[in-house]
Amino acid sequence: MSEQDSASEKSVIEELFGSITALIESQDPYDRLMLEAYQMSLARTSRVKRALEEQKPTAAMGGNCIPEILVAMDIEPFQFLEFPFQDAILYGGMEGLRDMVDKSVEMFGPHMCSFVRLACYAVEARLAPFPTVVIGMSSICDSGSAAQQLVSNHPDWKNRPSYSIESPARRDEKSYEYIAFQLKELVAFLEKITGQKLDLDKLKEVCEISNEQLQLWWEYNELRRAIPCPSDWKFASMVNQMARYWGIGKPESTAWLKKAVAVLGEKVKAGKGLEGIKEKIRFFWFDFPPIIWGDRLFRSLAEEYGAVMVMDLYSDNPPHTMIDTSNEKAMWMGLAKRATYDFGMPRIALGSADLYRQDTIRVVKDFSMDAVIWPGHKGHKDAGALVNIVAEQCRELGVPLLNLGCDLLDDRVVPVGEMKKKIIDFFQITGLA
Amino acid sequence: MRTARAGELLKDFSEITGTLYNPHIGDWKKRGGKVVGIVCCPVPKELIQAAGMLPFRIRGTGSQGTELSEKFTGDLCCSFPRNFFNQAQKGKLDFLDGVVFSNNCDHYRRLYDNWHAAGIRTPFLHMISNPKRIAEQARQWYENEMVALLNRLQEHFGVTVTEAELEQAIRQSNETRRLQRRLYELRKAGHPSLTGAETLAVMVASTCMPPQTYNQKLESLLSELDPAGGSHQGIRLMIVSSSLDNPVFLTLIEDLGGLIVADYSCFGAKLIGPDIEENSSSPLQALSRHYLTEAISCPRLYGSHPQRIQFIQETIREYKVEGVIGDWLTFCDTWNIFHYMLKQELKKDGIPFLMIEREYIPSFKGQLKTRVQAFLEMIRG
Amino acid sequence: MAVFDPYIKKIDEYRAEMKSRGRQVREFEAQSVAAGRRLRLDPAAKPAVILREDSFLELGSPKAGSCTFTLWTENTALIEDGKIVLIGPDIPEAPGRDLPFGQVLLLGGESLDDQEYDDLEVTARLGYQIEGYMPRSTARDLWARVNRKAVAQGFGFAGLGQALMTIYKNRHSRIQSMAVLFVTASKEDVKILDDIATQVQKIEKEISRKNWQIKGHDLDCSLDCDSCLDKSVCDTIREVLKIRKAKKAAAVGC
Repeated sequence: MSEQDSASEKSVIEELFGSITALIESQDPYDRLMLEAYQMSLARTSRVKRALEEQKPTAAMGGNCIPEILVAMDIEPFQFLEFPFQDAILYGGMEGLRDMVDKSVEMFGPHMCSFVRLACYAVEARLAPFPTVVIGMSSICDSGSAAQQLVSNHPDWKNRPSYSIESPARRDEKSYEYIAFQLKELVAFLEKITGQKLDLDKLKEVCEISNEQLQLWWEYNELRRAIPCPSDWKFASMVNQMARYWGIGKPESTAWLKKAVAVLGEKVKAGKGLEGIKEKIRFFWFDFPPIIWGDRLFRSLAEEYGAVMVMDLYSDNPPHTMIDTSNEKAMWMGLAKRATYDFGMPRIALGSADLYRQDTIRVVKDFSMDAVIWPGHKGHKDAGALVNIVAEQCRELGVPLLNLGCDLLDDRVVPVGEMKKKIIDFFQITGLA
Repeated sequence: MRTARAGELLKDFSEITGTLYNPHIGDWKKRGGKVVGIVCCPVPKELIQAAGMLPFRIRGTGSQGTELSEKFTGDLCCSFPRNFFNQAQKGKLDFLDGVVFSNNCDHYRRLYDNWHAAGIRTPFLHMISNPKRIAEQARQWYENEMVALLNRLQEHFGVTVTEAELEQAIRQSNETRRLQRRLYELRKAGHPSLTGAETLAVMVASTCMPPQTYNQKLESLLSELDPAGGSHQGIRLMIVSSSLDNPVFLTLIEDLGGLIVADYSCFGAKLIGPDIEENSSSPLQALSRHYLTEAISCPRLYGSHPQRIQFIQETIREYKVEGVIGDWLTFCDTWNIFHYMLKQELKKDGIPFLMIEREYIPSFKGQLKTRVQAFLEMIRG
Repeated sequence: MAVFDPYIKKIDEYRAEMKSRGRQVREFEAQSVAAGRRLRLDPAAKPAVILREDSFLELGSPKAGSCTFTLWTENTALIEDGKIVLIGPDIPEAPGRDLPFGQVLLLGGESLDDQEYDDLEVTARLGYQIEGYMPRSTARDLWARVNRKAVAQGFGFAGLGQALMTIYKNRHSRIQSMAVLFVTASKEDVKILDDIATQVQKIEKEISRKNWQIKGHDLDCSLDCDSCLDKSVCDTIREVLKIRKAKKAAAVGC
């Protein structure tokens, strides 16, 4: 990486996540860990880019559904949108990203989920690097499924090997068996394409590392229950990356997660919350954290009103069960669950209304939430019709809910200032601020 | 010239389509018959027919707004389900003894979650989880879903469905397909004997009246129409659409000089497709194979895009289509991307394409008119 | 709620079976829990974090196995009020261990009905009110930590059972009798209990679905009743609800 590139990356990170200079200068173990995570993230990006250049086996994924299998097969996974997204902001800053968003709107209109729309645009504009294989999930949401159709039929992509995993609209043993069957079919497909064989012992080993990482994630989440909350959403997103995405099966990620739990544990023992924040309001952000504008919104809410986003939907949805590695069948069933109903967006998007309601009770009670904010992302059509049920559950729990309305990627749809005002008004009306 | 009888029959079809509770449903209910609503194509109507009930494809016909729905659906929901949900809340679908949903899209799925919440007291609700990919394992899954639906229908309504009844339903359904194919053949003529709007009314009627009565009526109509052609003329268009059930929309286009001679739409050609295998050793296997791999596929089905495009390209050739209109309901991501992909394909073939974004209730008549006019002029050169 | 009565009977059978298998079965009376073993409860408490290093032991981790459910009945005679049964080692006997954990709460009250369920669901998350005890935030089962200090002060299952009874009885005035079963003997023993739990949870889900239907929301039980092995359970509850409704209507008529 050239010096110029490196400087540019630094400025982008600062724009997104705050001062990196302060991180470098800080001796606070929490900040040091955050810096280490950024460095690991950059190193991993370089590694994948190198694999792409050297045409080593890589897999572009529509959702990070099955990293364990890929890691065990020595296939480098990456997200479809990852590099076009990074490149846009690296070379054009936030304006570069906005330009990309605008072009995607010209192509597909404004009503589609902005993340998926951007991925489609990246393919159309030939910005997405070619992987060895494309792996998708055809049932998380309509736009994701449709995007897969676009990718697998695009002239540049249609001859590239692709496989799509489907999860039925129910969750029972039969569904898991159906998905496990697909996973095995996928492995056969990957073996044929890449020539790399899956060693079941290796898969078992990766699953066990992944289970350990998962336990550390659970532990980390427990620590966020402390009052004041010792961690912010940026740190949480790094935990997610380490335990569920690019860190899976990597001993250095496990080491980082252990340190994270230790550092946070010390903060909890010392009763320390976020640096410089006097926590007064704890809220649950009922969706994914907005990576582009989250820092601007959450930081100012915390600094000015002591309002801390203690938990978000993504952090709250690590896989809920461990993979049983005691026998092969159990391992495949565990992987099937983890790939679909047990984790992240698939769990939520494919889940029934009851799941939303139960999660509301658990998160509100366990994390001492004062309020729930339903961001109402324009793309999440699968959840849009459930806000009423969640609101009713919140009423029963005596916790206020704000249906905000936003685009989790593009803050021009609803500007951060406007969102902040709505949230503050809500806190004031409900007597929290 | 069209015969007076043909005119009467077309008017009749149009009236059936123009309302939700049509006289045929009234008669059916008076005789103690049950009516089961189905949401979207992959719910096999043959199962409901075999159980002695009338399948009714749910629409929002007559809806004036979605004020009751929005409380539940928010503002991101496609207007087709939003409108029929509104109609259901107003009691306009109270004649339904049951509704079978499918997980065809996020919008339908969540309506299922909200149906009772909205106080709609349909006694029987079921969700069929139909696959999104083509594979033998997926077909088996689908077959099991059909067994489950059949079992629930039998249990809830206290009926028994025999294999012979299932076979009979398949035969009856195939008979409808054969007649509808003949209807579509008429549209290939240089001057077809019926318009696109009239055809749509005939097709929609097949989703809301007893199949036997429908088949007889359609047979009569076909005997009244001249296979050599009629008097309709205009720029030959194909409409590609999902939930297009309102002939008024097509009239609007045809009044401007277009003539809809073909379609790929959920209430049109997609209802026809090839026949379902008859006298199969396993009717349910035949049904699942038909709906998953043989029927004209839905854009939601991963891996079937080339067949879809091939169907459209062949239709364009066979019906001598001069331009294609892509009709898209706002917020439907599946069809949004499909239209985008179709546009690229048609561009390669040199076929003009116009994409129209609309709400279920046609409200932008002026704007729509201007765009269609410009499109037709462009084709005329 | 006669619907749970067969399961209450199953719990009795389970206890007897465990005894016959030679498991250590101990019984305590809530009223007789010694003052020193009673746990401090704070209804105004917020969940406190117990760090791993401060834990005396863990109960019910995914590795060890866990299961929890609640049964309730109108027939108070079926519930021996104040009884706490422990099958397996007690907390002070298992320092540093990761014990399997089964917990069954048995509630009796003449006027207890399915309307109570929604609130019971919330009560189930209030274990943090017990000092030294931290139920972890998991979407399934019960996974908890007990801190060293609390155990040094006498934290054990007798105290935990008694504290849970206090929480439940304080929040639900209709509970007249309550008993608790704890199982820590082995993962296999918890698994047997878990098979009962699976059936019970189906019923609970159906009750919840009906309660929310009354509130105007459909939570969607199983999408496919006919492929569900527990269909008979739901059918039973539907029948019971019908009978109760008819009874109520008849009573109003009187």
